[in-house]
Formats: sequence, structure tokens, C-alpha cells
Amino acid sequence: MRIIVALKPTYDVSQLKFDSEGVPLLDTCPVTLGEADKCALEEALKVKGSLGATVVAVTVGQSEAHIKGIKDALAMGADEGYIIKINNAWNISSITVANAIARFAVVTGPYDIVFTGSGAGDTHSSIIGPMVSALLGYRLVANADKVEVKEQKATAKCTMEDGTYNYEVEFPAVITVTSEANEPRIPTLKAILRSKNMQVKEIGPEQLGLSVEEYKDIKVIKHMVERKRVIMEASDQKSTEESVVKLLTFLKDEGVI
Amino acid sequence: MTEQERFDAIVVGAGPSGLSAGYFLAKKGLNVAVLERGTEVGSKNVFGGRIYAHVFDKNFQGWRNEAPVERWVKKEKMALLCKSGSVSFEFEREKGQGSFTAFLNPFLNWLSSLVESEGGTVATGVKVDSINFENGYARGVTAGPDKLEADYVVIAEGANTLLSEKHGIKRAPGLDETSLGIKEVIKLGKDTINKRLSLEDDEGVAQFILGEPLQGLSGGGFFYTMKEYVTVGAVVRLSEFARKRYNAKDLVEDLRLSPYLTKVLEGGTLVEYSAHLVPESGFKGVLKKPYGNGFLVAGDAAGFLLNTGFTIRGVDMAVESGRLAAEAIAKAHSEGGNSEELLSSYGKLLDESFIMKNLRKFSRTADFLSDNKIYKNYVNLACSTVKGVFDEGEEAKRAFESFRKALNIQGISFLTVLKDAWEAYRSI
Repeated sequence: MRIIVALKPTYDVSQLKFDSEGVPLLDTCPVTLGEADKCALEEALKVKGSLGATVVAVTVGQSEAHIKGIKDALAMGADEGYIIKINNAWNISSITVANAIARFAVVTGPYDIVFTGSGAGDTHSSIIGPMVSALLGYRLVANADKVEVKEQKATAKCTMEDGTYNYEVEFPAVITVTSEANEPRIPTLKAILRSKNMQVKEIGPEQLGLSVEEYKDIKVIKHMVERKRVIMEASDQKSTEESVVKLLTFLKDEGVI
Repeated sequence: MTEQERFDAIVVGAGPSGLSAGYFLAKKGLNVAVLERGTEVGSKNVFGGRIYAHVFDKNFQGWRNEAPVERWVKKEKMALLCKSGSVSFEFEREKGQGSFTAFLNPFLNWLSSLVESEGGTVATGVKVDSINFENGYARGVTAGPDKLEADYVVIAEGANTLLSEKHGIKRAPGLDETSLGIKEVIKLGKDTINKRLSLEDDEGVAQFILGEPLQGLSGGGFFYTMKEYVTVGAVVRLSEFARKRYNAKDLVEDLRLSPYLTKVLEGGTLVEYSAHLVPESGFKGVLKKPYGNGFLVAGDAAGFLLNTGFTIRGVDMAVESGRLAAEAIAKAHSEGGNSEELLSSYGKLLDESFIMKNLRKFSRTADFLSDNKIYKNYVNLACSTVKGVFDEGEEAKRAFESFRKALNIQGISFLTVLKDAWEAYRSI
């Protein structure tokens, strides 16, 4: 079995600090693989342990953080690690990222499973997995809290807004994994030392036949809802009762109850 | 056993001493692994901000163009802060080139890249649980489920000497032999720093602070300028926190909010808070025999830290001790053994080095600096005296007159001052 794990290094949100204006202090925040991505890798490594599989870790970008992310994946137990050499990778469109991963899967494939995190730690757009599945024509299971992989298919438990769904999916498939799915392993000393001799392979966009589209003119728009601050005053028994009635009427008119 | 599980030397801890040992061992052609508990090299280190350059000038060719230096220290300041004013002293060099400020994390990343470029291995996220001893010889280390073999183990675990204590190499230090360094990093921006402190882009300030904000605790404050940031903090004996039931975090906040610093720090953003232990028993606390069969101890773990009363030197001593450990190992290796006797050249090298020379020279300082009264009475005495000298009233005062009056206010006898001055003369 061959498995791709698509990984993205992002700001470690658990260590993110803000200044007094509420602006995040990004330049002092450590960058690391996203939690859900690490869980996706762990699922792949579990399959490697139980059924035997070649696990290929890939990331889109060539910064120090991207290289370190792939090195970490190799230390955890991935068999091969690639960076797709795109500059300024945090500023390219999601469709470019999805295209890069899909093209990578075609060029280095075939694969049985593409695992990735249900969302990245920073943007959490959750669209890379679904886009990759559409581009490759693979089946998709998104937001799996629990995954079980067998020879030809996988079952997954996904918690959605309206309840829990159990899916069964045949390969090839894209499975996105939440940070609830497992506890990613901490690499042992020997695994780290072994990974030191492994190479982080590079692959250029031209090798994948990829055109890179950068985000242009990003505008951040803040939506604020004005608070109404309606106060019903009550000082004694009588005014309390009146206020309660007034409050209930008000809430009904507002459509809250 | 595969090659990966056997090394000539294993270094425990990727701080300044461990990486230095790793670098010089690798450079001498030994197969070396440096193991670091933190997720990145230096992530368990905290220091105020200043590193002395001499050790790098001597041993790291071309380092001035490669190492991530923040600013070269041009101005040395000392401030005594009192309730109603402050006395400060400033020394400005023509050109700063002897010591520099840096963030330890990128600085150690640079050192780590040197280790790897010489063929050494640096592995992070690895907690060494114990040193493996066989027949009284260190033979490697155990980390989690894994054992690694090595002929030599360099213990460079830093101030928190859990491993050395576990193996009886060192006893646990007392509360009065260890200080806690607390540090805040504040972002001010390069232009603001340059403007407020009259600096050029690569010029920096190193400042030593005593007095009021430190609440009379035995210890000093510091202030350093980085490129875009400044660091503010204090180093205070652990026993003092216990004695005064004082919260360490409040201390650095009191310092930051002191009138002396608020103007400088105005508009800054607090981006980091950290704390770390500092070995501070001076010469007395240095490991008498920092080596044994198959192992050596370097850096803070061996107590190689110097507090002169005005400055603290740690990183240069750590780097030098790592280098000397590598020297001693290479020598023993060429002689084909790892016995205590073969490694004893480490002791000799240390003795002749600036590390032990300095520690011996300042052997009385640690005791002197643990005395409370210098931090409170004498800071106030200095303020009152200087205030008298610059008295703005009708009657101009002579310096000695102001001093006598200040003595009266502080309730210190002239004889005590003479005695303490003599002690200071001998100690710092």
C-alpha cells in the first residue's frame, strides 16, 4: 500500500501571543506542523505498522519551516519526504496547493490513500483535502475522528454538526483527519538518528506541470455586530414581574425565543 | 549493533557548552551526537542577552560574518534606583566590539549548523534519562526505549543538574547556591531603541540595575538592547524568594514599571517571558573534578559561571569548557582509552584557562554578593549622598558632609562602611 500524507507547517497557535490591541505577534510565534496534520501522519504510520505501507510525506513550500516539517515527519517514521519548491508558499491560493498535491500524487503515484489534516492550524479552511479528491477523482471522507484501514477499504467515524456518521470507503481515497483521531507519536532517539541520514527530496513546480497562482490584494474585513444593550430595570417585586414580562416580549419580538 | 547506535562521543544538552563540545569533537574527526531535550536547540536556555566575543575570535574563524549578532555593546550602564531618584553611571566605548547581545536560540542554531557541517549529529526532542555505567565507566546513554553506546559522554545539561545528581557526580545545590533568572522580551522597534538610547543600528546597551524595584532582595536587574527588542530581567537567589515569599513574576514586572525604565519601554509590546536557574555559588560551587571514567561535565552543569558583581559571564565560559572537553577527549581517544586518568587533562586545561583563572580571582564574590545590605542600605546611601552633593538649597554641601548625613539617615555607622568597603575591595 502506498500512502501520501500532505502536511503544512503553520503557526503553533497554542503558543501564539497577542499585543494589547489584539494583534497576533506572528514574528515571535514558533512554526510547526499543524496538529491535525500530525494526526493524519500518525494514521498513515499506524497503517504502515499494521498492514505494511510506504508513507510519503509532502509539503508545499520550501522555507526552513517546510524542510523542518518534513524532517519531523521522517523522524516520526515516514519513508520518504518531499518539499514542492514554491516560494512564498503561505501566500498562494488554496487551489494551487491542492493542484500541487494532486499533481505530485499523479507524478509519483499511484497511491491508495491521501491523508491530510482536516484543517490547518492557521486558516482552517478545510478545503485542501476535498479539492485534492476532486482533482484526482478519489473518494473523499472528511473530518474523520476515527479511522480504521483494511486491505481494500477504510472505515471512518466523522462527527458532523447533526450527528455522527460512519463511512466505509474504497481506495483510492482522500481521508482528512481531525486532531481528535489519535495521539501522534513522539519520535524515539533511534528514529531521529535514522532520519538524520534520510534526504528531504525536492520537486519543482515545473516537474509537476504546475502554474503558481499567488493571492493578490488580500483585504481583511472585520465584521462587528453592534450590541443592543437593552436593559430592563427591576428594583422590587412588582417592577421585577413587569420587567420579566417586558423582557420576554422583547426577546419574542427579536425572534430569539 | 548498527553504526547509528554507536558514537565515539555523546553530548547531553545542546546549549552553548554542549554544542561547542560537539563542534570541536566533530572537527577533530570524532563521530559525535549532541542530544537535546527541547524541541529545538536552545529552547531550554535562557540568558540575559550578552555574550563575550573573545572566545569566538580565538576559535571560530569568520564567525563575525556568520553568527546572528543583534548589537555590539557600546554603552555599559549601571543604575542604582531609590524611592526618590536614582544614581546612574555610564561608560561609553569608542566602538563596541568585545561583547554583543544576541538571542540564544538563533545563536545556538548557528552553532548547531557548525556541528552538522563538521559531520556531527544534533538531535532534538530527546530526553536522556540516564547515563549507562558499566564497571564504573560511562558507556553511553539511555533515552526512553533506546540505548546508545559511546566511549565518552559529555554532560552539558545546564544549571538544572538532574542527570549529574542522579549519578552522584554532583550534589543538588542549595537554594542559596542557585539564582533564578527571569527575563522579559519587549518589542520596541529599531528606530525607537536607537532614538531613545542614542544608538546606531548595530550599537547596543548593557545595563546593570540595583535597588528599589528589586525589593531589597539579593540580586540584580539587567537591561539589554537587541535589534528590534529589549530584554529586561533580574537574577535573584532562590533562597530570597523563599525568605520573602516573593513571586518571581512580580519582580520583573516591578522592574519594568519602575520610573527609571517606563519611559524607555513606553509603547513596547511584551512578547516573551522566561525564567531559568543560574548556578551562583561561584568558585566554591565549581565541580572539583568535572570528569571521571568515560565522562566529562561542561558549562553551567559544572558551575562555570562568573558573577563579578557588575556583570555575569556564562556563555563564553560554557563555550570554552565545551572546547576543552573536546580537547581532552581527543587526547584520550588518541591514547586509546576513556579512563579518568586519561581524561584528567580536562582538569589541567580548565585550570590554565580563563574559566578557572576568573573563578579563582572572584572566589570571594559569591559570599559577598549574597549579603543583603549591599542591595538596600548601600543603594540608598549612594542616592542620599549624591542627592546631598547636588542639593539645590541655599547652603551648598561638601561631599563628605552629604555622605555623613546619608549615613545618619540610613543608620549605618562609619565603621561598618569601612569594614564593608574593605570586604568589597577584597571581593569584587
